[in-house]
Amino acid sequence: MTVWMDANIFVGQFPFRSVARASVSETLSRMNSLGISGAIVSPMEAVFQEDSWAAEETLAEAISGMTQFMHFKVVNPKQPWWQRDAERAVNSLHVRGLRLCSTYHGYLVNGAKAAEVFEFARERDLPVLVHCRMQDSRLQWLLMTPEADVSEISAVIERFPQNRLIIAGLHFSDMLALADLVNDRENVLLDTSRLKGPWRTFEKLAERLDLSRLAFGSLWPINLPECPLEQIRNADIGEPAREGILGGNLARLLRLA
Amino acid sequence: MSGFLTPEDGPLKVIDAHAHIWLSQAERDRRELVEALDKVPIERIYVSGLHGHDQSPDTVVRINDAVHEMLAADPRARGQAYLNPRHGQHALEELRRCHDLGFCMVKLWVATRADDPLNFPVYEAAAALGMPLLLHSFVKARGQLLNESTPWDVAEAARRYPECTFLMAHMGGDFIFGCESVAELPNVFVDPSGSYGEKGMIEYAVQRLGADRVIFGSDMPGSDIYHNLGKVVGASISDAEREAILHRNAERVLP
Repeated sequence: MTVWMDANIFVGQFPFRSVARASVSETLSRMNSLGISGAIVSPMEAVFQEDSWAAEETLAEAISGMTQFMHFKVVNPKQPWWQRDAERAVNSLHVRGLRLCSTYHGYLVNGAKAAEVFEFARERDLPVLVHCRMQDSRLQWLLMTPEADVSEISAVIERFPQNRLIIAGLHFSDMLALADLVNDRENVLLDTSRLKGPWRTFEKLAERLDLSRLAFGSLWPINLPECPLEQIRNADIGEPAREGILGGNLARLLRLA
Repeated sequence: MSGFLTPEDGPLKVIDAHAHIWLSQAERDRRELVEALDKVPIERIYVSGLHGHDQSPDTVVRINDAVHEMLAADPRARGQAYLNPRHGQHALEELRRCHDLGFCMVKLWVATRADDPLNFPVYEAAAALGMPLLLHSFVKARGQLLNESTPWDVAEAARRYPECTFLMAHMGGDFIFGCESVAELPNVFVDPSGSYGEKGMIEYAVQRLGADRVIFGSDMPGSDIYHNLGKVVGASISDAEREAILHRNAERVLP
């Protein structure tokens, strides 16, 4: 049986909702209760703090020795020192990948700044988790951010065919629009954190999208893992596809198998 | 409860207070709702028809007829009569027609805001017929639709008509705005349908309104009921509160 893994979690405090917070221990407890044995994790504070290194270091210490967590460093390529910090994170914090939150950092994922990150990652064979969006844009009262749309994501996938990419936050319609592009790309995964419908979401996706391109991702602690898990567990897609979404596809991309 | 709807847990009893048949795809929607009724399973489902933001009187009749077709075919379905309060007397006639056909609730969407005086005759007629009202409500930081009700529009209507029972859809869109707006109004219930499964949303509603004022809804077939069940299954609440949300409140409050 495949190990279940969450491709998209944070620990820490999301700044716009007091309830959207989780410590390492709370996160681990939640994962254990749901049978999730692995997760890509980053510190939430690293998204929102200018001096993000401290948050990365604190997380690395907190999860030291915990094989369940795969630390991805949040990178803001608008900071002139991002390459130095990313190099340090690889060498001293042993991060397993990089994470782009362009909507909060004010650059285009298909622009020149992000391209530097993809080149950096390709040269070091690091996977990159790319957020199209995080919070529901309709609920952004305090800070309105742009979102990366399908055309921008398509441009990244086409321009960097050698990179291992996890695209987080795509809607159902986005995934249908990307299906033809990603169906043949074994090094690209789309996460499930924004798939709230329609009825029989995964069965309908399967009509266009190779389900081996999907990875369970929750966006914990902004969202609940139970929502996509309930959809995946109850989808009539066959056990191989289900196990792939729940962990096998991510394990393949991360070369954990 | 382990937190999952697995067979070994035994099926949870579920009543869904918020589902739709879109007139443009009525046959497919009816089929999919029946699929969900059988698969989940759902003991009872409340269904309203929709089509565009502002419809002609004839179209409203066709919308409700599309729902009635399901009511006639499946005893698990209960009808919510869609009305456009801009139609004045016709809206009231359509309400009575639907009531006679067996519809037991009223559905208002984005033809008018909840506190629009055009709605007042509908509220009075619904109260007289004992029909609770499902009111769409979604407050947005951007993209608010014309005549789309905010939670405080719903609160204003509920203050004016304490004899009416209101079910505020989507917890008002933003669960904090929604719960805070109607917290002091015992004739307003909320459903968590449609939106993403935010951590803490159900707990917030239980804390501010009480578990007895949260009624499960899915917003199918545009939304996946399993995603919406995950909100309740994943909430840090007691089993009794979970059961109240999933079916007991609907059994108590909805006809």
